[in-house]
Amino acid sequence: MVKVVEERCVGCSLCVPVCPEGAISCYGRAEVNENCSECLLCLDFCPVGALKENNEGEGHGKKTG
Amino acid sequence: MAKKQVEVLIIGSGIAGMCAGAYLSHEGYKVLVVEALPRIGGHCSTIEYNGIKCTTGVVGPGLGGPLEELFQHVGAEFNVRECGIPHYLINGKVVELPAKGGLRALLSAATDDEDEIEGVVRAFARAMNWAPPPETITMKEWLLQFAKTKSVLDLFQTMAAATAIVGIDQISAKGFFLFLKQHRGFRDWGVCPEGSIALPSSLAKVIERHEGKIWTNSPAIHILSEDGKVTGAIVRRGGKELEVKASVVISNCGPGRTVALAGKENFGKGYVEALGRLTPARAIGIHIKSEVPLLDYDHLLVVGARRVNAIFQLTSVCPELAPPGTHYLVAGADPVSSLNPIEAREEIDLCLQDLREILPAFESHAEVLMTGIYHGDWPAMFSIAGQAMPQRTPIVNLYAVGDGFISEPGMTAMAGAAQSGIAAAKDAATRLKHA
Repeated sequence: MVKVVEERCVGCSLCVPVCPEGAISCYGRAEVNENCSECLLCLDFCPVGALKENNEGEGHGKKTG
Repeated sequence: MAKKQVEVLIIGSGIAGMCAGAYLSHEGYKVLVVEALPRIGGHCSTIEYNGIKCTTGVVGPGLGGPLEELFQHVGAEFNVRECGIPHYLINGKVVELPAKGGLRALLSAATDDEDEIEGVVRAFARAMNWAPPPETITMKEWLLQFAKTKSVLDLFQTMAAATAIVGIDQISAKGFFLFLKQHRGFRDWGVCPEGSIALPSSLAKVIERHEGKIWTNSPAIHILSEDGKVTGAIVRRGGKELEVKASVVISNCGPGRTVALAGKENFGKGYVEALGRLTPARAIGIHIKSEVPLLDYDHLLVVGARRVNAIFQLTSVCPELAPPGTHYLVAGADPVSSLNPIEAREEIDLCLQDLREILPAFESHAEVLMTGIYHGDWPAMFSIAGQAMPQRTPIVNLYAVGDGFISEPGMTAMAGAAQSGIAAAKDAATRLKHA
Protein backbone atom coordinates (compact mmCIF):
# COMPACT_ATOMS: atom_id res chain seq x y z
CA MET A 1 0.00 0.00 0.00
CA VAL A 2 1.26 3.49 -0.89
CA LYS A 3 2.30 5.52 2.14
CA VAL A 4 1.46 9.18 2.79
CA VAL A 5 4.36 11.22 4.18
CA GLU A 6 2.19 13.21 6.54
CA GLU A 7 4.52 16.16 7.07
CA ARG A 8 4.72 16.73 3.32
CA CYS A 9 1.06 16.26 2.35
CA VAL A 10 -0.72 19.62 2.03
CA GLY A 11 -4.17 18.16 1.31
CA CYS A 12 -4.47 19.47 -2.26
CA SER A 13 -6.47 16.35 -3.31
CA LEU A 14 -4.79 16.09 -6.72
CA CYS A 15 -3.95 12.44 -6.05
CA VAL A 16 -7.61 11.52 -5.58
CA PRO A 17 -8.72 11.54 -9.26
CA VAL A 18 -5.53 9.80 -10.37
CA CYS A 19 -6.06 6.55 -8.48
CA PRO A 20 -7.61 3.88 -10.75
CA GLU A 21 -8.86 1.94 -7.72
CA GLY A 22 -10.46 4.92 -6.01
CA ALA A 23 -8.30 4.07 -3.02
CA ILE A 24 -7.33 7.61 -2.05
CA SER A 25 -9.47 10.02 -0.12
CA CYS A 26 -8.36 13.46 0.93
CA TYR A 27 -10.07 15.53 3.53
CA GLY A 28 -7.39 17.84 4.80
CA ARG A 29 -4.79 15.16 4.15
CA ALA A 30 -4.51 12.19 1.78
CA GLU A 31 -5.37 8.72 3.07
CA VAL A 32 -4.83 5.50 1.15
CA ASN A 33 -7.09 2.51 1.83
CA GLU A 34 -6.64 -1.22 1.31
CA ASN A 35 -7.91 -1.09 -2.29
CA CYS A 36 -4.49 0.32 -3.28
CA SER A 37 -2.98 -1.93 -5.95
CA GLU A 38 0.45 -0.27 -5.68
CA CYS A 39 0.38 0.89 -9.29
CA LEU A 40 2.26 3.98 -7.98
CA LEU A 41 0.59 6.35 -10.46
CA CYS A 42 -0.23 8.74 -7.62
CA LEU A 43 3.47 9.14 -6.78
CA ASP A 44 4.08 10.81 -10.13
CA PHE A 45 1.16 13.20 -9.80
CA CYS A 46 1.77 14.45 -6.26
CA PRO A 47 3.13 18.00 -6.58
CA VAL A 48 4.93 17.89 -3.23
CA GLY A 49 6.33 14.35 -3.19
CA ALA A 50 4.13 13.29 -0.27
CA LEU A 51 3.35 9.79 -1.56
CA LYS A 52 5.93 7.03 -1.24
CA GLU A 53 6.15 3.39 -2.11
CA ASN A 54 5.86 1.44 1.10
CA ASN A 55 8.93 -0.76 1.17
CA GLU A 56 8.22 -2.07 4.63
CA GLY A 57 6.22 -5.30 4.88
CA GLU A 58 5.20 -7.32 1.84
CA GLY A 59 5.11 -4.88 -1.05
CA HIS A 60 4.22 -7.12 -4.00
CA GLY A 61 2.61 -4.73 -6.47
CA LYS A 62 3.95 -3.89 -9.86
CA LYS A 63 6.39 -1.04 -10.28
CA THR A 64 6.54 1.77 -12.79
CA GLY A 65 9.51 3.53 -14.38
CA MET B 1 26.29 11.57 -18.41
CA ALA B 2 24.43 12.40 -21.61
CA LYS B 3 24.42 16.05 -22.57
CA LYS B 4 22.01 18.33 -24.39
CA GLN B 5 22.45 21.94 -25.43
CA VAL B 6 19.66 24.53 -25.60
CA GLU B 7 19.60 28.31 -25.43
CA VAL B 8 16.87 28.54 -22.82
CA LEU B 9 15.94 25.94 -20.21
CA ILE B 10 12.67 26.42 -18.38
CA ILE B 11 12.11 24.49 -15.16
CA GLY B 12 8.42 24.05 -14.45
CA SER B 13 5.51 24.36 -16.86
CA GLY B 14 3.23 26.66 -14.85
CA ILE B 15 1.67 29.51 -16.78
CA ALA B 16 4.68 31.77 -16.06
CA GLY B 17 7.18 29.25 -17.42
CA MET B 18 5.04 28.52 -20.47
CA CYS B 19 4.57 32.24 -21.22
CA ALA B 20 8.35 32.70 -21.01
CA GLY B 21 8.94 29.63 -23.19
CA ALA B 22 6.44 30.68 -25.86
CA TYR B 23 7.80 34.24 -25.97
CA LEU B 24 11.42 33.12 -26.37
CA SER B 25 10.51 30.40 -28.90
CA HIS B 26 8.67 33.01 -30.92
CA GLU B 27 11.81 35.18 -30.77
CA GLY B 28 13.70 32.29 -32.35
CA TYR B 29 15.54 30.80 -29.37
CA LYS B 30 15.81 27.07 -28.78
CA VAL B 31 13.73 26.30 -25.70
CA LEU B 32 13.37 23.22 -23.53
CA VAL B 33 10.73 23.08 -20.80
CA VAL B 34 11.16 20.39 -18.14
CA GLU B 35 8.24 19.50 -15.90
CA ALA B 36 8.48 17.14 -12.93
CA LEU B 37 4.83 16.06 -13.05
CA PRO B 38 3.15 14.01 -15.81
CA ARG B 39 0.92 16.97 -16.63
CA ILE B 40 1.81 20.53 -17.66
CA GLY B 41 0.35 23.71 -16.23
CA GLY B 42 0.82 23.50 -12.45
CA HIS B 43 -2.12 25.35 -10.93
CA CYS B 44 -3.35 26.19 -14.44
CA SER B 45 -4.18 22.65 -15.40
CA THR B 46 -6.98 20.13 -15.60
CA ILE B 47 -7.52 16.73 -14.10
CA GLU B 48 -10.44 14.57 -15.14
CA TYR B 49 -12.56 13.09 -12.36
CA ASN B 50 -16.02 11.49 -12.67
CA GLY B 51 -16.07 12.67 -16.27
CA ILE B 52 -15.58 16.28 -15.16
CA LYS B 53 -12.65 18.42 -16.22
CA CYS B 54 -11.62 19.66 -12.80
CA THR B 55 -9.22 22.54 -12.37
CA THR B 56 -5.97 22.13 -10.44
CA GLY B 57 -6.30 25.69 -9.16
CA VAL B 58 -7.10 28.36 -11.71
CA VAL B 59 -10.86 28.79 -12.13
CA GLY B 60 -10.58 31.09 -15.11
CA PRO B 61 -8.18 33.58 -16.62
CA GLY B 62 -8.72 37.30 -16.85
CA LEU B 63 -9.52 38.60 -20.33
CA GLY B 64 -7.25 41.21 -21.85
CA GLY B 65 -4.13 42.03 -19.89
CA PRO B 66 -0.68 40.51 -20.27
CA LEU B 67 -1.82 36.91 -20.70
CA GLU B 68 -4.16 37.43 -23.64
CA GLU B 69 -1.71 39.92 -25.19
CA LEU B 70 1.03 37.32 -25.09
CA PHE B 71 -1.23 34.73 -26.73
CA GLN B 72 -1.90 37.18 -29.56
CA HIS B 73 1.77 38.11 -29.84
CA VAL B 74 2.98 34.51 -30.24
CA GLY B 75 -0.01 33.32 -32.28
CA ALA B 76 -1.44 30.95 -29.68
CA GLU B 77 -5.12 30.09 -29.52
CA PHE B 78 -6.80 31.76 -26.51
CA ASN B 79 -9.91 29.66 -26.09
CA VAL B 80 -11.67 31.38 -23.21
CA ARG B 81 -15.40 32.02 -22.94
CA GLU B 82 -16.47 35.16 -21.15
CA CYS B 83 -18.38 34.91 -17.88
CA GLY B 84 -21.60 36.66 -17.02
CA ILE B 85 -22.15 39.56 -14.63
CA PRO B 86 -20.89 39.05 -11.09
CA HIS B 87 -23.47 38.61 -8.35
CA TYR B 88 -22.82 39.26 -4.67
CA LEU B 89 -24.50 37.64 -1.68
CA ILE B 90 -24.71 40.27 1.05
CA ASN B 91 -26.78 39.89 4.23
CA GLY B 92 -28.85 37.17 2.57
CA LYS B 93 -29.60 39.29 -0.53
CA VAL B 94 -28.28 38.58 -4.01
CA VAL B 95 -27.12 41.75 -5.73
CA GLU B 96 -26.41 41.78 -9.45
CA LEU B 97 -23.54 44.15 -10.05
CA PRO B 98 -24.91 47.02 -12.18
CA ALA B 99 -22.83 48.35 -15.06
CA LYS B 100 -22.46 51.70 -13.27
CA GLY B 101 -22.72 52.59 -9.59
CA GLY B 102 -21.67 49.08 -8.59
CA LEU B 103 -20.04 50.06 -5.34
CA ARG B 104 -23.06 52.04 -4.16
CA ALA B 105 -25.35 49.11 -4.97
CA LEU B 106 -23.17 46.72 -2.99
CA LEU B 107 -22.80 49.09 -0.05
CA SER B 108 -26.57 49.63 0.04
CA ALA B 109 -27.00 45.91 0.56
CA ALA B 110 -24.37 45.93 3.30
CA THR B 111 -25.62 48.89 5.36
CA ASP B 112 -28.64 51.19 5.78
CA ASP B 113 -26.45 54.06 6.95
CA GLU B 114 -26.55 56.61 4.12
CA ASP B 115 -23.70 58.66 5.60
CA GLU B 116 -21.46 55.61 5.72
CA ILE B 117 -22.31 54.70 2.11
CA GLU B 118 -21.64 58.25 0.96
CA GLY B 119 -18.36 58.42 2.90
CA VAL B 120 -17.02 55.18 1.45
CA VAL B 121 -18.14 55.99 -2.12
CA ARG B 122 -16.47 59.42 -2.03
CA ALA B 123 -13.25 58.15 -0.48
CA PHE B 124 -13.19 55.32 -2.99
CA ALA B 125 -13.58 57.70 -5.93
CA ARG B 126 -10.76 59.90 -4.59
CA ALA B 127 -8.48 56.89 -4.18
CA MET B 128 -9.23 55.59 -7.67
CA ASN B 129 -9.20 58.86 -9.59
CA TRP B 130 -7.08 61.32 -7.64
CA ALA B 131 -4.57 60.17 -5.01
CA PRO B 132 -4.07 56.53 -4.10
CA PRO B 133 -3.76 55.88 -0.36
CA PRO B 134 -0.30 55.34 1.11
CA GLU B 135 1.58 52.05 0.75
CA THR B 136 2.17 51.92 4.50
CA ILE B 137 -1.42 51.40 5.65
CA THR B 138 -3.44 48.26 5.09
CA MET B 139 -6.71 48.26 3.18
CA LYS B 140 -8.49 47.52 6.46
CA GLU B 141 -6.92 50.55 8.15
CA TRP B 142 -7.92 52.69 5.19
CA LEU B 143 -11.51 51.41 5.28
CA LEU B 144 -11.92 51.93 9.01
CA GLN B 145 -11.62 55.69 8.42
CA PHE B 146 -14.93 55.63 6.55
CA ALA B 147 -16.69 52.35 7.34
CA LYS B 148 -18.06 51.07 10.61
CA THR B 149 -20.47 48.29 9.63
CA LYS B 150 -19.07 44.78 9.70
CA SER B 151 -20.80 43.91 6.40
CA VAL B 152 -18.98 46.77 4.68
CA LEU B 153 -15.61 45.47 5.86
CA ASP B 154 -16.70 41.95 4.88
CA LEU B 155 -17.62 43.19 1.39
CA PHE B 156 -14.10 44.47 0.79
CA GLN B 157 -12.62 41.34 2.37
CA THR B 158 -14.53 39.26 -0.20
CA MET B 159 -13.41 41.47 -3.09
CA ALA B 160 -9.78 41.08 -2.01
CA ALA B 161 -9.93 37.39 -1.11
CA ALA B 162 -12.01 36.18 -4.05
CA THR B 163 -10.04 38.02 -6.68
CA ALA B 164 -6.53 38.56 -5.30
CA ILE B 165 -6.34 35.76 -2.65
CA VAL B 166 -5.36 38.25 0.03
CA GLY B 167 -6.94 39.65 3.20
CA ILE B 168 -7.73 43.36 3.64
CA ASP B 169 -5.49 43.27 6.71
CA GLN B 170 -2.61 41.94 4.53
CA ILE B 171 -2.76 44.05 1.39
CA SER B 172 -1.72 47.70 1.44
CA ALA B 173 -4.46 50.18 0.63
CA LYS B 174 -2.43 51.37 -2.33
CA GLY B 175 -2.00 47.79 -3.56
CA PHE B 176 -5.72 47.12 -3.30
CA PHE B 177 -6.60 50.10 -5.49
CA LEU B 178 -3.91 49.29 -8.01
CA PHE B 179 -5.32 45.80 -8.21
CA LEU B 180 -8.89 47.04 -8.69
CA LYS B 181 -7.76 49.32 -11.51
CA GLN B 182 -6.08 46.42 -13.28
CA HIS B 183 -9.00 44.06 -12.87
CA ARG B 184 -12.02 46.31 -13.33
CA GLY B 185 -13.95 44.76 -10.48
CA PHE B 186 -13.80 41.14 -11.55
CA ARG B 187 -15.89 41.71 -14.66
CA ASP B 188 -13.57 40.58 -17.41
CA TRP B 189 -12.76 36.97 -16.93
CA GLY B 190 -13.67 33.73 -18.51
CA VAL B 191 -13.53 29.94 -18.44
CA CYS B 192 -11.72 27.58 -20.81
CA PRO B 193 -14.22 25.13 -22.40
CA GLU B 194 -11.48 22.48 -22.49
CA GLY B 195 -10.35 23.18 -18.93
CA SER B 196 -7.55 25.45 -17.75
CA ILE B 197 -4.90 23.12 -19.23
CA ALA B 198 -5.92 24.48 -22.66
CA LEU B 199 -3.85 27.61 -21.97
CA PRO B 200 -0.46 26.00 -21.24
CA SER B 201 -1.21 23.42 -23.98
CA SER B 202 -1.76 26.21 -26.47
CA LEU B 203 1.60 27.77 -25.50
CA ALA B 204 3.21 24.33 -25.72
CA LYS B 205 2.12 24.18 -29.37
CA VAL B 206 3.91 27.48 -30.03
CA ILE B 207 7.09 26.14 -28.42
CA GLU B 208 6.90 22.92 -30.44
CA ARG B 209 6.11 24.79 -33.65
CA HIS B 210 9.45 26.59 -33.17
CA GLU B 211 11.19 23.27 -32.59
CA GLY B 212 11.35 23.62 -28.83
CA LYS B 213 10.48 20.69 -26.56
CA ILE B 214 8.37 20.07 -23.48
CA TRP B 215 9.39 17.12 -21.33
CA THR B 216 6.98 15.92 -18.64
CA ASN B 217 7.99 13.45 -15.90
CA SER B 218 11.39 15.14 -16.07
CA PRO B 219 12.38 16.88 -12.85
CA ALA B 220 15.40 19.15 -12.70
CA ILE B 221 17.53 17.91 -9.83
CA HIS B 222 20.33 20.53 -9.87
CA ILE B 223 20.70 23.96 -11.38
CA LEU B 224 24.34 24.33 -12.43
CA SER B 225 26.37 27.53 -12.19
CA GLU B 226 30.00 28.55 -12.56
CA ASP B 227 31.53 31.77 -11.21
CA GLY B 228 28.11 33.10 -10.33
CA LYS B 229 26.64 32.46 -13.77
CA VAL B 230 24.12 29.77 -14.65
CA THR B 231 25.27 27.04 -17.07
CA GLY B 232 22.31 24.66 -17.17
CA ALA B 233 20.79 21.90 -15.07
CA ILE B 234 20.84 18.20 -14.41
CA VAL B 235 17.50 16.68 -15.41
CA ARG B 236 16.21 13.21 -14.60
CA ARG B 237 14.37 11.67 -17.53
CA GLY B 238 13.33 8.05 -18.02
CA GLY B 239 15.35 6.94 -14.98
CA LYS B 240 18.55 8.53 -16.31
CA GLU B 241 20.25 11.80 -15.53
CA LEU B 242 21.35 14.14 -18.25
CA GLU B 243 23.09 17.50 -18.30
CA VAL B 244 21.20 20.22 -20.12
CA LYS B 245 23.52 23.10 -20.96
CA ALA B 246 21.74 26.44 -21.35
CA SER B 247 22.67 30.11 -21.64
CA VAL B 248 19.57 31.13 -19.69
CA VAL B 249 17.61 29.17 -17.09
CA ILE B 250 14.13 30.32 -16.08
CA SER B 251 12.82 28.63 -12.98
CA ASN B 252 9.08 28.35 -12.47
CA CYS B 253 9.24 25.78 -9.69
CA GLY B 254 8.79 28.08 -6.70
CA PRO B 255 11.24 30.20 -4.68
CA GLY B 256 12.27 27.56 -2.14
CA ARG B 257 12.73 24.82 -4.71
CA THR B 258 14.76 27.10 -7.01
CA VAL B 259 17.16 27.90 -4.17
CA ALA B 260 17.42 24.24 -3.20
CA LEU B 261 18.16 23.21 -6.82
CA ALA B 262 20.86 25.83 -7.38
CA GLY B 263 22.39 25.61 -3.89
CA LYS B 264 21.61 28.06 -1.12
CA GLU B 265 25.27 29.13 -0.94
CA ASN B 266 25.09 30.55 -4.48
CA PHE B 267 22.40 33.11 -3.68
CA GLY B 268 23.71 35.00 -0.67
CA LYS B 269 22.10 35.15 2.74
CA GLY B 270 20.13 38.32 2.09
CA TYR B 271 18.31 36.92 -0.93
CA VAL B 272 17.43 33.67 0.82
CA GLU B 273 16.16 35.59 3.84
CA ALA B 274 14.08 37.89 1.65
CA LEU B 275 12.49 34.85 -0.03
CA GLY B 276 11.71 33.44 3.40
CA ARG B 277 9.85 36.63 4.28
CA LEU B 278 7.35 36.27 1.42
CA THR B 279 3.86 35.59 2.74
CA PRO B 280 2.33 32.80 0.67
CA ALA B 281 -1.34 33.05 -0.25
CA ARG B 282 -3.38 30.14 1.01
CA ALA B 283 -6.75 29.06 -0.33
CA ILE B 284 -9.25 26.23 -0.30
CA GLY B 285 -11.12 24.95 -3.34
CA ILE B 286 -14.17 22.74 -2.86
CA HIS B 287 -15.04 20.95 -6.11
CA ILE B 288 -18.72 20.09 -6.41
CA LYS B 289 -20.73 17.94 -8.79
CA SER B 290 -24.49 18.40 -8.92
CA GLU B 291 -27.48 16.94 -10.74
CA VAL B 292 -29.23 20.32 -10.70
CA PRO B 293 -27.85 23.85 -11.13
CA LEU B 294 -26.97 25.24 -7.70
CA LEU B 295 -26.80 28.87 -8.86
CA ASP B 296 -28.97 30.86 -11.27
CA TYR B 297 -25.90 32.72 -12.56
CA ASP B 298 -22.26 31.99 -13.37
CA HIS B 299 -20.67 33.11 -10.16
CA LEU B 300 -21.50 34.43 -6.75
CA LEU B 301 -19.19 36.44 -4.55
CA VAL B 302 -20.09 35.64 -0.96
CA VAL B 303 -19.81 38.32 1.72
CA GLY B 304 -19.53 37.59 5.43
CA ALA B 305 -19.66 33.78 5.38
CA ARG B 306 -17.46 31.66 7.64
CA ARG B 307 -14.93 30.83 4.93
CA VAL B 308 -16.40 30.67 1.41
CA ASN B 309 -15.86 33.87 -0.57
CA ALA B 310 -16.87 32.83 -4.08
CA ILE B 311 -18.79 30.09 -5.86
CA PHE B 312 -18.25 29.49 -9.57
CA GLN B 313 -20.70 27.38 -11.52
CA LEU B 314 -18.24 26.68 -14.30
CA THR B 315 -20.63 24.56 -16.37
CA SER B 316 -22.97 27.57 -16.68
CA VAL B 317 -20.25 29.16 -18.80
CA CYS B 318 -18.82 25.96 -20.30
CA PRO B 319 -21.19 22.97 -20.17
CA GLU B 320 -18.44 21.00 -21.99
CA LEU B 321 -16.56 20.65 -18.70
CA ALA B 322 -18.97 17.95 -17.46
CA PRO B 323 -21.17 15.21 -18.98
CA PRO B 324 -24.62 16.41 -20.15
CA GLY B 325 -26.92 17.16 -17.23
CA THR B 326 -24.06 17.38 -14.74
CA HIS B 327 -23.03 20.66 -13.18
CA TYR B 328 -19.54 21.43 -11.94
CA LEU B 329 -18.90 24.13 -9.37
CA VAL B 330 -15.86 25.30 -7.45
CA ALA B 331 -16.22 27.16 -4.18
CA GLY B 332 -13.24 29.23 -3.17
CA ALA B 333 -12.43 29.96 0.43
CA ASP B 334 -9.89 31.83 2.41
CA PRO B 335 -8.56 30.01 5.44
CA VAL B 336 -8.21 32.26 8.45
CA SER B 337 -6.35 30.02 10.83
CA SER B 338 -2.79 28.87 10.37
CA LEU B 339 -3.22 25.61 8.55
CA ASN B 340 -1.78 22.67 10.32
CA PRO B 341 -3.16 19.31 9.23
CA ILE B 342 -5.67 19.08 12.08
CA GLU B 343 -7.09 22.53 11.41
CA ALA B 344 -7.33 21.72 7.70
CA ARG B 345 -10.31 19.49 8.42
CA GLU B 346 -11.97 22.17 10.50
CA GLU B 347 -11.44 24.63 7.66
CA ILE B 348 -13.12 22.27 5.18
CA ASP B 349 -16.00 21.67 7.60
CA LEU B 350 -16.56 25.43 7.86
CA CYS B 351 -16.63 25.67 4.05
CA LEU B 352 -19.20 22.87 3.84
CA GLN B 353 -21.37 24.53 6.49
CA ASP B 354 -21.30 27.70 4.39
CA LEU B 355 -22.24 25.82 1.23
CA ARG B 356 -25.18 24.09 2.90
CA GLU B 357 -26.51 27.48 3.99
CA ILE B 358 -25.87 29.36 0.75
CA LEU B 359 -26.97 26.73 -1.76
CA PRO B 360 -30.46 25.31 -1.03
CA ALA B 361 -29.99 22.21 -3.22
CA PHE B 362 -26.47 21.42 -2.00
CA GLU B 363 -27.44 18.84 0.61
CA SER B 364 -29.97 17.01 -1.56
CA HIS B 365 -28.40 17.11 -5.04
CA ALA B 366 -24.69 17.81 -4.80
CA GLU B 367 -21.65 15.70 -4.19
CA VAL B 368 -18.28 16.98 -3.03
CA LEU B 369 -15.70 15.69 -5.49
CA MET B 370 -12.53 17.09 -3.98
CA THR B 371 -11.48 19.38 -1.20
CA GLY B 372 -8.20 21.02 -2.13
CA ILE B 373 -6.12 23.00 0.31
CA TYR B 374 -3.41 25.12 -1.23
CA HIS B 375 -0.70 25.97 1.26
CA GLY B 376 2.81 24.90 2.32
CA ASP B 377 4.87 23.74 -0.66
CA TRP B 378 1.82 24.00 -2.96
CA PRO B 379 0.33 27.38 -2.04
CA ALA B 380 -2.29 29.29 -4.02
CA MET B 381 0.49 31.81 -4.64
CA PHE B 382 4.06 31.95 -3.37
CA SER B 383 3.54 35.56 -2.39
CA ILE B 384 0.51 37.69 -1.65
CA ALA B 385 0.02 40.71 -3.88
CA GLY B 386 2.56 43.49 -3.51
CA GLN B 387 5.37 41.51 -1.84
CA ALA B 388 6.96 39.76 -4.77
CA MET B 389 10.68 39.41 -5.49
CA PRO B 390 12.46 40.45 -8.73
CA GLN B 391 12.80 37.88 -11.54
CA ARG B 392 16.57 38.26 -11.82
CA THR B 393 18.20 36.15 -9.13
CA PRO B 394 21.72 36.68 -7.70
CA ILE B 395 22.94 34.01 -10.18
CA VAL B 396 23.54 35.67 -13.56
CA ASN B 397 21.12 34.46 -16.28
CA LEU B 398 19.03 32.52 -13.75
CA TYR B 399 15.54 33.98 -13.57
CA ALA B 400 12.79 33.02 -11.15
CA VAL B 401 9.21 33.44 -12.37
CA GLY B 402 5.71 32.69 -11.13
CA ASP B 403 3.37 34.31 -8.64
CA GLY B 404 6.19 35.01 -6.18
CA PHE B 405 8.03 37.14 -8.77
CA ILE B 406 5.48 39.58 -10.16
CA SER B 407 7.08 42.91 -11.03
CA GLU B 408 4.14 44.99 -12.23
CA PRO B 409 2.23 46.79 -9.46
CA GLY B 410 -1.40 45.77 -9.17
CA MET B 411 -0.85 42.43 -10.88
CA THR B 412 -1.53 39.25 -8.98
CA ALA B 413 -2.68 35.65 -9.37
CA MET B 414 -2.62 34.20 -12.89
CA ALA B 415 -2.22 37.50 -14.75
CA GLY B 416 0.65 38.35 -12.41
CA ALA B 417 2.32 34.99 -12.91
CA ALA B 418 2.05 35.45 -16.67
CA GLN B 419 3.49 38.96 -16.34
CA SER B 420 6.50 37.62 -14.42
CA GLY B 421 7.22 35.06 -17.12
CA ILE B 422 6.87 37.55 -19.96
CA ALA B 423 9.03 40.19 -18.21
CA ALA B 424 11.79 37.66 -17.54
CA ALA B 425 11.61 36.40 -21.14
CA LYS B 426 11.89 39.92 -22.57
CA ASP B 427 14.88 40.64 -20.34
CA ALA B 428 16.49 37.32 -21.29
CA ALA B 429 15.90 37.99 -25.01
CA THR B 430 17.71 41.32 -24.74
CA ARG B 431 20.65 39.70 -22.97
CA LEU B 432 20.82 36.79 -25.44
CA LYS B 433 20.80 39.22 -28.36
CA HIS B 434 23.83 41.01 -26.99
CA ALA B 435 25.66 37.91 -25.76
